[in-house]
Amino acid sequence: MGAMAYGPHDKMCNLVSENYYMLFVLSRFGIPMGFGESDIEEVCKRNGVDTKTFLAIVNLNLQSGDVPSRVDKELNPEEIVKYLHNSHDFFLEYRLPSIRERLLEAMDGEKDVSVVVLRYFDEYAAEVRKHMEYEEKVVFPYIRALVQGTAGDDYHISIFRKQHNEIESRLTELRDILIKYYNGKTGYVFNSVLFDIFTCAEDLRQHNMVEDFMLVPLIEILEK
Amino acid sequence: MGRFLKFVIVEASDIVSEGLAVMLKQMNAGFRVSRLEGAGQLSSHLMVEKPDVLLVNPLFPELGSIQKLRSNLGMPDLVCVALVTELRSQRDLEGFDETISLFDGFEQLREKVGKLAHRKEDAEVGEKTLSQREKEIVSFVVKGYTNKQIAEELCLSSHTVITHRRNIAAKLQIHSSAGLTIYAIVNKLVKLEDIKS
Repeated sequence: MGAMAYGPHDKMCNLVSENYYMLFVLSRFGIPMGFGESDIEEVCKRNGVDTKTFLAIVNLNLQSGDVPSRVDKELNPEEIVKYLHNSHDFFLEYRLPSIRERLLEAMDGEKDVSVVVLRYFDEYAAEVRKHMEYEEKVVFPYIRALVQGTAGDDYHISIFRKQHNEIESRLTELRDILIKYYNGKTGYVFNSVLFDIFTCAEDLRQHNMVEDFMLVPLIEILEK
Repeated sequence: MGRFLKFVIVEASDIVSEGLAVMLKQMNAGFRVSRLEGAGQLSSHLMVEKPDVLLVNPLFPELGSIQKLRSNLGMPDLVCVALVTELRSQRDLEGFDETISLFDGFEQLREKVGKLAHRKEDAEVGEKTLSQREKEIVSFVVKGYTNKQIAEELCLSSHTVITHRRNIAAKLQIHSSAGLTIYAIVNKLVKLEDIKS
């Protein structure tokens, strides 16, 4: 993927076909397919999405690795929170359960191994849920209140910044254990669930980047 | 040559060392090449850089014997390559793993470095299998024993158990007990019914 940034007048269909990863981003903004020849700004407007925020998240994800030095203070914090909330919903209610189900299917007949692999996976999924629920119950309500001018003085985004950890490393550990040590039956399903674990871990990493390098610095500006 | 090797070049000529660095990076963009400049720092530089491969002019004054260098540094696996710019007697090349001549072409260089890279990989595979004692410890950990209980069972100090556990984590790259459990079941170190739910 190139490091070139997309702008409001690039075609939405090109953004997606050049970077299929953006399918994840679109679904979190609630943008359906069928763009025709419309550009990014038109599609965003049609769907009630703030174009600047959409592009900032798209371009942050495309940069993969390079951390932006400054955040644009015109971004819409509520739009980012909505995006992150939908992203949580995606991981907790769809992505992780579907990987679990496929793991179970892939290791059919490997009873002992599947028991311990699923135990690992369930512990991990519970950790992710706890991590995300904290954001849903504490951080996001604080941000909404801050934007509306009703936030109290007992919470600050710096508290979140200090305790916010990455969440994909235990998933990549599982992936590597399976790659290096799993010697049971494998096949189409097993390898495709491994593939899903790769993309899910990358997706989680990008999700966290939006929180650390976009949401937190933006809220720090708003707090001043 | 999939592995990212780290090289240190010790050679007084800028042209030779820069040229060599460029050739190595052309072979594999993941190779890291650094150069020792100035005298009197060979050991400290190597301690800091911890290279996989040392490329050195055998007449470099601080070098001394290669065997001694490896043992003084505590790096028995350090691959040492003699960078030969003129005719040398065999005695000067004692202890080196390989010799590269000023007149070696790109393909010759690639072949020699490739061999060294494979040897390095083989050595690491050896290091990454668990010893019998480590396997025992894994099975206790997975069964839910604490470090103290493991120490008592095996008549070791807790400190030794902790060291073993650290080595196990480093060898397997598994840092959680749930992960070790998968490893132990797959490798039949324990049975499912031995594991506390």
